[in-house]
Amino acid sequence: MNLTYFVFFLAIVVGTLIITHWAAGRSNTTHQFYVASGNLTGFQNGMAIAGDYISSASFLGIAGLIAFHGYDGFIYATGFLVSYVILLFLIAEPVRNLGTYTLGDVVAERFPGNGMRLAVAISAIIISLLYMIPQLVASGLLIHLLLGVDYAAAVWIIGILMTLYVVWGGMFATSWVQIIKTVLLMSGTILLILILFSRVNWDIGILLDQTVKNSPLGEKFFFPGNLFDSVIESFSLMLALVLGTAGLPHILIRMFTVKDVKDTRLSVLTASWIIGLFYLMTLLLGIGAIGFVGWEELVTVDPSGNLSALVLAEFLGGDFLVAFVTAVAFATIIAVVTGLVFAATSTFSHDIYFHIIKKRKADEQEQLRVARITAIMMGCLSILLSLGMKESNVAFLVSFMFATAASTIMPLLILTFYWKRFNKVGALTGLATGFIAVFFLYVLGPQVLGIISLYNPGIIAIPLGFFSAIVGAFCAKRDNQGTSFEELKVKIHTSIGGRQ
Amino acid sequence: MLEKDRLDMEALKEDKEFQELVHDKMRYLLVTIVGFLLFYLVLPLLISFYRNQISSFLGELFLVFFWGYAFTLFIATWLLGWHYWRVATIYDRKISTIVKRKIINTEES
Amino acid sequence: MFELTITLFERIGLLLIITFILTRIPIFRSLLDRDISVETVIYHAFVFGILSIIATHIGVVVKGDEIRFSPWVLEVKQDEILVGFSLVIVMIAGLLGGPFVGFGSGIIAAFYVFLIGDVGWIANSIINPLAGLAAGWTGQFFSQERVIAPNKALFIGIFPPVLHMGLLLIFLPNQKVAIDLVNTIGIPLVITNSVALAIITMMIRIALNETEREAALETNRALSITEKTLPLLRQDSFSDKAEEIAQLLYDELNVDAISVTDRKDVLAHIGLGRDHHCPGDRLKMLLSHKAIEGGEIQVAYNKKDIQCRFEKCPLTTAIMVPIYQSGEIIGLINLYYRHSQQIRTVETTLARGLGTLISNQISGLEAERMKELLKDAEMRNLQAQINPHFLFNTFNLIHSLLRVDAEYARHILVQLSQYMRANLKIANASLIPLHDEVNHLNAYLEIVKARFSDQIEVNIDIESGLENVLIPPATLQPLVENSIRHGIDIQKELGKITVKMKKIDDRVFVEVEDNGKGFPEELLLTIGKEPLAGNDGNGLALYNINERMKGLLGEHTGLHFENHDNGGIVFFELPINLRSDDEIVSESEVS
Repeated sequence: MNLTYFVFFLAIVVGTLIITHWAAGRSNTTHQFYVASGNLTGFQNGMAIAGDYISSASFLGIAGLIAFHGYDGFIYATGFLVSYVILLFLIAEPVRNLGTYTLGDVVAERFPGNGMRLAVAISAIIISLLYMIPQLVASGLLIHLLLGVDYAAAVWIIGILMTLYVVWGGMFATSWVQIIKTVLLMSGTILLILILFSRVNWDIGILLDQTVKNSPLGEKFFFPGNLFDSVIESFSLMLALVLGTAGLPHILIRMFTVKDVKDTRLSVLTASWIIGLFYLMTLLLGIGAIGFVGWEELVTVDPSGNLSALVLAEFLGGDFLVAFVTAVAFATIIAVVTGLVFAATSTFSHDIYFHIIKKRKADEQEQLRVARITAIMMGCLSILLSLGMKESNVAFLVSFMFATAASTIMPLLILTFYWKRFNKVGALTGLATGFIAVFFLYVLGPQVLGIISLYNPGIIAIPLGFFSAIVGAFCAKRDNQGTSFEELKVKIHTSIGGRQ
Repeated sequence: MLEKDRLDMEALKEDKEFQELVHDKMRYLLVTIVGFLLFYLVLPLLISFYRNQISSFLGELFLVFFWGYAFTLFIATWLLGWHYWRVATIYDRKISTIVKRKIINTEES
Repeated sequence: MFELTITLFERIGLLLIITFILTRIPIFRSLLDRDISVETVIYHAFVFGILSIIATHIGVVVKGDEIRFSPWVLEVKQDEILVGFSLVIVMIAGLLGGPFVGFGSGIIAAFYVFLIGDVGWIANSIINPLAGLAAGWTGQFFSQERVIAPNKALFIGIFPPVLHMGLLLIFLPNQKVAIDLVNTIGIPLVITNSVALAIITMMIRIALNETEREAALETNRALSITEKTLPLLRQDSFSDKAEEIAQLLYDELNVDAISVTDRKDVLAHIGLGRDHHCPGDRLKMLLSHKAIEGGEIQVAYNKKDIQCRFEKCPLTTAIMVPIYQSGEIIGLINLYYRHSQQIRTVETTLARGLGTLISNQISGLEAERMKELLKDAEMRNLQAQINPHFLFNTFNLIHSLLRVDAEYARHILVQLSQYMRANLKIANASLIPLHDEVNHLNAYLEIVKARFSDQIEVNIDIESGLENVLIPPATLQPLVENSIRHGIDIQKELGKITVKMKKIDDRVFVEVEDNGKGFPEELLLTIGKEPLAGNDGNGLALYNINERMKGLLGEHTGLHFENHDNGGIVFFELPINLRSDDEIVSESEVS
C-alpha cells in the first residue's frame, strides 16, 4: 500500500469523523437529526446540495467520457446541470412549503392517509437504495485500485463509515461532510487545472492542438456524434437527466434543511452555480487528460476511461497529487452515499415507523433511537447489495436511476402540485406504472434479455409514468379528501399553513 | 404572524387578487420551462435529423455553433435561475401583502 | 520519506520551543487579548510576520536530489528551493487574530521570501497570505471557541501545505524538478505542519486558560469587595463612610495606597504617602479633575502626572475611578501604586468594574430611599380623599342661611374654611397632633349642628396632656360622621355621640360611641378591612382610615368595631409618639 495515498485517505476519514463528533452534540432532537434544525444558510445548503449531487461517477466518469468522446461527453454533463432549472422553478419551493422532514410529508399534505404515505416512502427508499449501488461499487473499485485493498473489504469500509456518519451525526454531519467535500472538490479541481495550464505555458491553443493530435478521433473529437449514435438513445438519456433530479429523494430532502423558503431558493441557485462551474472545469480536465497524457496511456491504465482524471494528476504532479485527487474522489463518494443512506433512513423511520406503524405516538427519544437503528439497517442492506454487483456498469446504473426517478416521483410531484383533477388513485397508478415500466424495460433491454436495444428507459417510461397517472386520475371519481386544491395553492405559494 | 392571529384561509382562497397572482406566476413558470425544455430537447433532435443540411449550411461555423449551444445551456441555466430569483422575490412580496390583509387579529373580532 | 519526516519534526521542534517560551512571557500573552482595532491588527500582523520570517529559516533547502539542512539557513542559491515553516506561524496568526492578521503576516513573510529569491519564490510567497487568510476565515467560522480545538487544527493544518505543493507544481519552471520535489517532501511537510499547528494551538490554549483563571480570581475579589461595601453604604452615605471604604479597599486589593474623594476634596487616604496626602486636602491632580469632569477612568503613569509636591513620595502611578450616584459623579476612588508595571489590563479592568459596582450600589440604595418617599406620598394621597357630599350639603346650608340669618351663614362659612384648612394639612402631613385633629372635628361639628341642631348632641372628653400625641389627620371626623349617618336614627330620639380619649400605659385609647342602631351584624368583621361601596362613601372612608393608621403607626393600631345594646362603638389605640416629626406643619404655615 502506498504510504502517500494512505495518509490522505486517513486524513479524510479522520477529518470527517471529527466533523461527525462535533455534529453528534447537535443531534439530540428529531428536528436536529432530520433537518439540522434548519440551521444551514442558503449558501451552505447550496454547497451541500452540490456535494450530495456530484458523485464520483461525475467527477471521474464525465472527465473520462470527455477524454474519450469529446463533445458528447460534455453534453452528458450539461444534462446534469440543466435539471436544476426544473428543480428550481417547479419543485423546490412547493416541496419546502408543504413538507417537514420527508417526501411522505409533502404528498400527505394533499393526500393524507397511510396508504399514500407508504407508497411514496417505498418509492423513495427503492430509488435511494438502488442509487447507492453504483456509488458503492465505484468506491470499492477505486479503493481497491489505489490502496490495494480487497474489493469487498473496501465496500465494507465505506459502508461502515457512511453509516457511522448518519447514525452518530444525523443531518448535521451529513451536510457538513458534503460541504467540505464540495470545497475539496472545487479547490482540487481548480488546482489541477492551474497546474495543467502552467504546463502548457498558459496557452490553451497548444492544449487543443495536442488533443486533436492525441485522440484517435482526430478532428472529430470536437464534433458531436462520437458517443451518441442512436438518436433515440441520446434523447432518452437527456430526458431522463433533465427530469430526474427533481425526483431524487436525497436531493429533495435538502429543501428542508434551511430556515425558510427563500433560503431554499438560494440553495438551489447556489448549487446550480457550483455544479455548472464544476462541469466546466471537468471539460478542461477531460481535454487535459487526452491532450496532455495521450490516448495510449489512458487506455492502458483503464479502458473504460473512468480513471482519466487520476492519470492526468499523475502526469501533472506525481504520486502526491494523485493521492490528493484520490482523497478528493474518496470524499466525493462518502458525501454522496452518506446522503443516500440518510434519505433512506429518514424516509423509513419518519414515514413508515413514526407515522404508519406508531401512528405518531412516539416520543423524541424513541424516534431518534429508531432512526439510528434504521440507518444501520440501510447501511448493511446497501453494502450487501453492492457486494454482489461488482461487475455492473456504473454509468449505466446512474442514468438508469435518473430515468426511474423521472418516471415515478417526478410526475407524482408535478401532478400533485399543479393539477386540480389529480387524486390518490392517479398517484398510486402513476407510481406503480413508473416502476413496472422501468423494470420491464431493464429486463427487456440489452443488459438482460436484449430484446429491445434501449439502454435508458427514459423515453418510454417517463411519458408512461405521466400518462398512467393522468388516466388513473380520470378513472376515479373526484377526490375530496384532504386538502382542497385551492387550499393547497395557498400553501404552495405562501409559506403559511402547511408545516406541521 | 402571531399565534393569536388566524389566517382567514377561506377568504384567502377566494380572493381574486391572490388567484390572479398565482395564475400569473404559474404562467411565467410554465412558459419558461416549456421554452427551456424545447431548447434543450427538441433543438438537438432537429439538429440530428437535419444534420447534413445544417452542416453544409454552416460550414466552418458548425463547430462554433455546437460548442456555442453547449455553453449557452450553461448560461441559460444560470440566467434563468437568476431571473427566477428576481421574479419570485417580487411575487413573494405581492402575495405577502395580500396575506397580511387577510390576517384576522382575534382580539379585534 | 520516513527519515525526512523525522528530520522535519526535529527542525520544527525548534519552532515549538520558541513558541512555548513566548507563551510564557507576559508581553506576548497580552497578544492573546483580543482587542480588535486597526492598530492591534497591524501590531499583531507585524509580530507574527517577524516570527514567520524566523520560521522560514528553520526550513530545508532542496537542490535537485539533495536536501540540505543547515542549522540556520543563511544562504539560498539561485537554483535551490527553500521550503520553510512560515506557513505554521502564518496560520496561527490567522486563527488567533483573524483573517487580516493572518493576511498581514503572510504578506510580510511573502515579501521576505521574495527577497530571498530562490527558484520557488512565487509559490512560496503566494501561499503565505493565502494560508493566513484561509486560516483566519476558518477560525472565525468555528469561533465558538476563543482558540480553535487542537483536533480541528490538526485537520485544517493539512490543506495549506497541500496547496503549497500545488503552487510549487504550477510555478516551478522545471516540471520534473517540481514533481520530484513534491513527491519527496509533500507528505512529510503535510504531517509536520499539521502536527505543529495542533501542538502550538494546544500551547496557546494552556496559556489562555491561565489568563482566564487569573481573571476569574480577580473577578472573585471584586465581587467580595462589593459584598463588603454594601452594608457600609447602607448605613451612611458615600462621603460619610469614606474612611471605612478606603480601608476596606486597601485591605482587599493589591495596592500601595487608596484615597477616596468627593468632587473637591480628599475624604480619606489609607496606605503609603499618608503623611502628606491628607483628608481635607483639595484635589490637586489634573487627572483627578479630568476624571470628575469627564466621568472616565484616568491613569497616571508617572510621578509627573501625579503632581505630588512631596519629593520623596513613593507613589508613582495611579488609577482614578469616578463614582456615580444616579448619573451624577459624586467623587473618586484613587488607587495608587509604586511601580508602573503593576498596572496591567487586569488592574484597570478591575478598577473600572469596582467603580461600576460601587456606583450601582449607591444608586440602588438611593432608589430604595426614593421608593420610601413615594410610598409616603401615596399615603398622603389616601389621606386626601375627602367626602364631597359634605361640601355640597354645606354650600346648600349656607345658601339657605344667607337669606334667613346672614350672621349665622358667615359663621358657618368660617367653620367651613377652618375645616378645609385642616383638610389641606392632610395633604401635607402624614401625622398631626391630636390638638389639631380635635379642632378639625369641632369645625365639622359646628357645620353639622347647623343642619341638625337639636337632633344631635356631641360630647368630647379628652384627658389632659394628650394634645401632642400624633394621629393621622381626618381620623376622628369621618368616624363621627359615620356615627351621625348610620348610627343615629334621627327621627326617634336625640342622637348622642361621645368621643373619649384616655391614656393607658404607653398608649392612648380613643373611642367613639353612639346611641344609634349600631353596625350591621354581618358587616362587623369586614368593616374597615375592605372598602365597602356604600352610596355615600363611608365604607370607603373607614377603609381609608384603617389603612393609614396601620401604614403609619403599625399593624396593631387598626380600628375595632362593636355593637352595644343601645348603639355602636368604634375604638382604637395610638402609640404615644411624642417625637416631633419633621413633617408636622404648624397651623401658622398654612393660610
